[in-house]
Amino acid sequence: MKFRIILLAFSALIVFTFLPRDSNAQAVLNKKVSLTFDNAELRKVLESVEKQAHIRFVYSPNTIDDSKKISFQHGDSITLKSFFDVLLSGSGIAYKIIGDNKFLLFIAKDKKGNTADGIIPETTFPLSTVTGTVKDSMGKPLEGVTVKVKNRNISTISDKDGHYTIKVDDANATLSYSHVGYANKEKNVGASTSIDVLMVEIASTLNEVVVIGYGSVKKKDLTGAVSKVDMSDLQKAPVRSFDEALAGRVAGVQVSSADGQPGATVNIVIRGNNSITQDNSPLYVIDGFPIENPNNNIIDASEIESIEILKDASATAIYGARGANGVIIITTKKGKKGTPVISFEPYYGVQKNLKEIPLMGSYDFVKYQLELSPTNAAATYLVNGRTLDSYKTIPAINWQDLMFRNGSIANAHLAITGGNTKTKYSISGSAFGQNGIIINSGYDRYQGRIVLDQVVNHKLKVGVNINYSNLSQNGVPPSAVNSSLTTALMYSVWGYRPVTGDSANLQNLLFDPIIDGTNDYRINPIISSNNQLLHNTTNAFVANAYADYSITNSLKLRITLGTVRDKLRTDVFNNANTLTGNINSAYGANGINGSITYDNNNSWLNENTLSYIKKINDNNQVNLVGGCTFQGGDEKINGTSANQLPPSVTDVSGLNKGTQRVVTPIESPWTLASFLARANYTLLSKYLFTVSFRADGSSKFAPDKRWGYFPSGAFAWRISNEKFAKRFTWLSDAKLRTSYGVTGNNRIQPFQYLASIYQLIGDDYSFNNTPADGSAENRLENPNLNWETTSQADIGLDVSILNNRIDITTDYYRKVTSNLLLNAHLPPHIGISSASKNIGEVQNEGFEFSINTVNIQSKTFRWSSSLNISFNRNKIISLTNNQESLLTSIAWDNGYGNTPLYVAKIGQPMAQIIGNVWDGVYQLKDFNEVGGKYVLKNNIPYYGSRSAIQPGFIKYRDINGDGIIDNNDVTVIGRPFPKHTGGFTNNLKYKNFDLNFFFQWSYGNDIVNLNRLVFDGNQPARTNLNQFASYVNRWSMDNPNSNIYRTGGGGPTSTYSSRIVEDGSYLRLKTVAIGYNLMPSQLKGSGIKTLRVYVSGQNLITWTKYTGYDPEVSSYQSALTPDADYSPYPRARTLTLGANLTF
Amino acid sequence: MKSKMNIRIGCILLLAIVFTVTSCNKFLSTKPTTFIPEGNYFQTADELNNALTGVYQILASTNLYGENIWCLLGSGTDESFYSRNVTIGTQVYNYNSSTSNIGGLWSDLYTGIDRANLLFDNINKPVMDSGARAVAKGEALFLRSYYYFLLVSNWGDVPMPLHASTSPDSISFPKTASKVIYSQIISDMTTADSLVQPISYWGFPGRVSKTTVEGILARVCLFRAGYPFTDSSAYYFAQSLNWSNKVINSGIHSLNPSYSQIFINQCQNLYDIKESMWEVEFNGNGIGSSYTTYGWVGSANGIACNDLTVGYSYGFMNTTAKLFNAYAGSTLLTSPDTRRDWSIAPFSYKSYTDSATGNIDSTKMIPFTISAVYNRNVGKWRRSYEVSSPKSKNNTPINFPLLRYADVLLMKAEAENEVNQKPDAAAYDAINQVRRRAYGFPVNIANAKSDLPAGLSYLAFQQAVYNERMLELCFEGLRRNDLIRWGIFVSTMKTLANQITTTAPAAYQYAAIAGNNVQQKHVLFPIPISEMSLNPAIGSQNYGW
Repeated sequence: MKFRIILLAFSALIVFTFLPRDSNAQAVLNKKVSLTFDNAELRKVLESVEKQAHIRFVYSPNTIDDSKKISFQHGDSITLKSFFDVLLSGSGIAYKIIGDNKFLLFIAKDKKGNTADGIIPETTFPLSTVTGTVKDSMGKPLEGVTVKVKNRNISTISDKDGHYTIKVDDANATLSYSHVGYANKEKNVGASTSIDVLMVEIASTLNEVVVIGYGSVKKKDLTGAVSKVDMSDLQKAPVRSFDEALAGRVAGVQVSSADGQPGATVNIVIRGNNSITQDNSPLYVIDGFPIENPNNNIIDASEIESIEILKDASATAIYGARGANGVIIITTKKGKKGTPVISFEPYYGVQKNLKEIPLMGSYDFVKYQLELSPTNAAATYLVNGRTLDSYKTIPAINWQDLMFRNGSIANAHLAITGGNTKTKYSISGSAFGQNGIIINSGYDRYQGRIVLDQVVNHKLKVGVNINYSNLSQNGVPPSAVNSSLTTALMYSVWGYRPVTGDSANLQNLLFDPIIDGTNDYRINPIISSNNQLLHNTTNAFVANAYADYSITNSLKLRITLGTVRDKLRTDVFNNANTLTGNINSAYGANGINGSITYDNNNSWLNENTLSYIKKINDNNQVNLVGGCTFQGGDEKINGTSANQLPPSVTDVSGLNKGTQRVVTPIESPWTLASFLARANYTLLSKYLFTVSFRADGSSKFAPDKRWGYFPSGAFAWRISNEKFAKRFTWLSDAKLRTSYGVTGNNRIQPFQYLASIYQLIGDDYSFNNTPADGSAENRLENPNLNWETTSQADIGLDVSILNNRIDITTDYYRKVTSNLLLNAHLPPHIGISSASKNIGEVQNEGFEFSINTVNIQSKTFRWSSSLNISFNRNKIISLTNNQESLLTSIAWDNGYGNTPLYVAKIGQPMAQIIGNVWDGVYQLKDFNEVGGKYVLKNNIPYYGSRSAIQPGFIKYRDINGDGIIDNNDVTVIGRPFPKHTGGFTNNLKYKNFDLNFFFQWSYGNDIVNLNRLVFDGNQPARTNLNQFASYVNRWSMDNPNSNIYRTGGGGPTSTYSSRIVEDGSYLRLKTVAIGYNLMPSQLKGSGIKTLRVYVSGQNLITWTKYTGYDPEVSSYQSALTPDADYSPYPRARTLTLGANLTF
Repeated sequence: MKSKMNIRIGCILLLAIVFTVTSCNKFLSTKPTTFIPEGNYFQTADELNNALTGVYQILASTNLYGENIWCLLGSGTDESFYSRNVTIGTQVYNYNSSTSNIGGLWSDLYTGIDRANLLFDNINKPVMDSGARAVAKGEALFLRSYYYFLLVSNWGDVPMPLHASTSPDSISFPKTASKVIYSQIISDMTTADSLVQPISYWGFPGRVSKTTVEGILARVCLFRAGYPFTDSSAYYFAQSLNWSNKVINSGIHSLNPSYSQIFINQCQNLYDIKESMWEVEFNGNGIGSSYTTYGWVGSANGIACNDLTVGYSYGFMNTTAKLFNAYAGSTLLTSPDTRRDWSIAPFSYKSYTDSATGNIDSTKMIPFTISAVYNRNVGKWRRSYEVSSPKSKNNTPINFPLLRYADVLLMKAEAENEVNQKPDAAAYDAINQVRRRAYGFPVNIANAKSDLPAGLSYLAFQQAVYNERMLELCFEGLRRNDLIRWGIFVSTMKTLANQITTTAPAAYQYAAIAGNNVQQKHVLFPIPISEMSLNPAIGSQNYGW
């Protein structure tokens, strides 16, 4: 604490030492400079004056003649005015004040009476003056366009309104217009005195500034693998949060969400999973603040200026112990100079379930029940005068229709930005609302942000960026299970009976009266969903402040302070119309219950960096950054919980009226201190070197292991700047990059290194019927515990061809993560089952390719595309001592709790799906008919008991050939990781229309469709459970060619097989947006500056063979258990109508 | 002037860096608040006692007396069978080193041992009354020995750490010979005997007391005297006799006149420390309280019932005909031996739908006919007596007996017979006390209806004791290990399987599976796969596994 105060004081001291002094432009000529030169280059003299007087000279290279040396001695007393008047005019150079502390220098007049640098002094008189305005294709004025008379040394630059004025001495002259990022343009002057020009952007991103850790560089100078997300494309997707639209946008970045629930966690994995048990999500750096697991919903996507993704070690090593999973740098929009601009971006849309799974109707359902359990089913359905055929006309209840609704999504974002040269501001806010496609689910967000940047004086600049968000998520995840697969929501939706045998109205009853509630926990999904409350409210406050101080022109100090304060409140309430709240249900013994849990996550950050950028000469340029950062945080979880509430209590406000339950409070404070340094050196603009280093000290580890050191190095070779490359005129740019570095992953809970005694209620024991507090050690001391270390090598090639119309970036990488933090099992005699240990190694290897092209470019039509594809392969190199493989089961049902579904084996990928190989069904030919009974032939393998197997039963392959199908025949039946993933974006612009469409795909991954285990054959053999319509086509004596097993022929329960492993490849038309920009003429008098109206759609068409709701699913997501699908929230198709207005 | 300024900044920066580097270590030393680092624990008597409570808690785990010892690991004997037609599991002797019940029992026992070891390692740390410290030490020493007793009697040679584990890297620990383990157990329990309080001090049987230690020592010595050991049997029988005599001579204990009342007490959270010397104390059922140390006594091994008010029970355990017929009056609906119709349910609960109201009633008790034997559930712990309200479907607060005075008497009878190689008066007296109580007679007055015939040979008396232990202690989790220490486990189970196959009705033919599956290797459990694969020093697997 004391330490923080001193840091604050230190920062304040620096700020106050350099408070503004006189900066009046008029007074600047009276500034004094001290000059003593002997035979020096004029350029050096000017540099010295710039430094001393804190002014800038602007001049054309031709103005200063380097061969000319000057000598001068004038002690302390010369004013700037005398410097100009005496010294410079003596060299034939004139000056002009063109801004605060900015001076334009030009040659007064050469021998021919013309100026050499093209800026015509007042004293020359050309033939004519041409004026005009330069605008971009959106009709916005373009500042800084170089306008040049072709083949002459006459040029000028357009001002901030796009206006330019140039004097032309030849009527046949041609004017050329050039600007970084735009296609060059030429115009004949002829008799015109006014020429307006429209310049069209080119796709090249070479000159883009890319934000990297603790600094930024031009893309062409990058040495590491850093991808910039195209925000204009991304912002066209109508989504709540940017991460929902990130999938497929960037090579090497895999984005997936568990399912389609509003607010569902989005998993982002950069270049494959490094860690088998720890968090694999990247580090986020939001406006300079590194956060490990931010709630991305707190940011409105409209407020993001840029997203950069740091992928290789050269880029991420500056984030040291937290950089191993890659880094996502998010920069929010700042104020811009100019008159206040008000922008308003509303949209409204509807959401609809992509897909319903066809279920059996009344007739098929009853027919199946009569086969499954003839006696009971007949007593249930063939009563009241009904026969099986009666059910052909009795309508089925469509529970899916009742469960799903048309959702809606709406957002309104309002921002005011503006400022002058000193002060820039941006104030913005938004309101978002989403009603999910499942009843009683939704998401709301209210958010506001203030960004202020202030130039205090020519040395000091300060700013703040403050965001406050209120998020609320409503609805229980359908895939949530409570130890039985029958507690999942979709179990009740799909499985609930479509018809009864009597007049009972299932829709009005909480429980189906004929279901045995002691082992089948299905409940009326409509009533329970409407009554179950799960409400997450997040209040997030993020504030960052910085001070930039220029110690010299090259040396800058930056001090930042920031805080993130996240408060998550979770309200749970189950009234008597829910599974856990109803005392008649097996889970309801505790009656009406509820809880309020608070998870407060606070952290703070102070960073102090010095940067030094110096162009030593044309051939040598250095860029150095160094600094120290301090960060700390604390997570506090606590709350209150009660059950046995009286029926009068209807929400969490009445929790005090029941039996209070213990909520175990958790507090996890942590601190991190770091020192960092990076050097970039550019030699001959061809050879780029980067080395970086970070030392991180983390409180999460024992004193001896606290510090970790993370170095990296990179080298890039701009081949295109080599002489031999100049003859390839089609080659605009080519750069080869290589890098190697070491990064870490410290994602473990604090204090894992300490032996600890807990007083948990589970260790209590009663004496004389009175509970006594028990305590026990539950963790052994492990002072050797250390972070996971990933070393990564990367080689990449960036190529731009045909005047930057085609940009290609490719990367190959290989990374090895060692010291894997594994919750390793200990031999049980130790008395503690597991401990966090550093054991094992994992390798990821991959290839990334992306290409941006401008396909067509004309005055009225422009078509550009970008495509990216990534391949990643991971494998386990070693595991804990003596362990060959790690088997993992998923917690979807107790009955399957001991059946592993995944294996991580040395030499193989981190996760492979295992089970029996499905071979269809036992056919009649596999049997001998003995006395009217079918007896399995002796050479045919069997499971369970040979005599029980009948024709039409499911058949598995006898892998080991011992004639018996059992656990020994379990083998790999699927690979959950995709072979490649990618995205393809197209932007078309015709006159005022724009069209964006975006495809995203994943290829070669398998999904375990657990839903089919239950609903496409009913392996758990539960009666009165409806099935998917696909099961109508099951094997029977009348349908002997079916490979779907017959009723009751599902084989042993708790068995996974390749029957439910499906190809999860898909291609999705993810986003389409069509917009129309109104012409300024159409808006005249409306007060509106620009207006774009658009319709856009999300998740429009998906091509896949996957039979579940959606192939983008992972109900039990972890590195070891990817791509299992059970009871997911279906994904929605969204159609929105919106507008972007500025005033 | 400018350069002076730069020097000033430089100095400040330098100072700042020096300052930060020196204070970094302090900055990085965060302190936990929601748990106590081990080094800071054991400062007070309360902390020591809390740690001791944690050692006790293991008794109540599902893998021990919460369910498994008496159900999944204990139901497959000659007195009971698991009343589900299962083919895989410990209850039917189809298991291996990865079976979770086996691994779970092993792990939990070692967790208890490690907790006790940690307590010993820190026993002198708290500032506290030395008497209280000695008692805590004695109880922990006894519990650790008891856990080792469960290990050695089920696995034979096992690792025997006597200090707390300190590092996750010390994963090697070789096995200790079972004789050495028994010596350690007997020596530690003897020490504990001098440290713990008498049961009268506590007044309830949940706490380890002096006579409990002595009674369990009698049991341990019987095990040491029996299979598989061939040495020193006579010595250990004499030792056992010595310990059971100490219990008997203490004068504290006596038999409860009503056999059924012992178990009704356990259902009702009542105590009779005269008879029931040591119990696992379960409490609550998870409803209305966060407390979780409850068990499945009555819900797993009770009389099958669907009604939550009566008390739900799965009825996982049924009697064998061998047990039922071993009681007097096998053709009588009510046996003169009161133990039969209490230990074995004489009725079942039947569900029927009330035709008038449509309500399903599951509370009607339907008596069995005399020929229905295999249908009968275990009836010792009846949830209808349970006092909790509401009752939970699965969880019960019903205590489970670990040592009864009747057991001490039977151990005395057995040891007397072994030591003298014939039954003497003391042996007869001990076993007859148990029998008289069973028939409802005063325990100290000879009664021809209940007493064993006089003049039995050594072997006949031995057989009578074997039989009596089954009649008296059935379903209390002792039978399988008794059969093993007598060296008759495999033969008894084979005979049983044959009897079931030849006499049981078709619906209960499956009950023979346990006996059919039993092999010589089943006298010891396999060492769990987790220990075999993760402990490099563990050595060979047990015979046959």
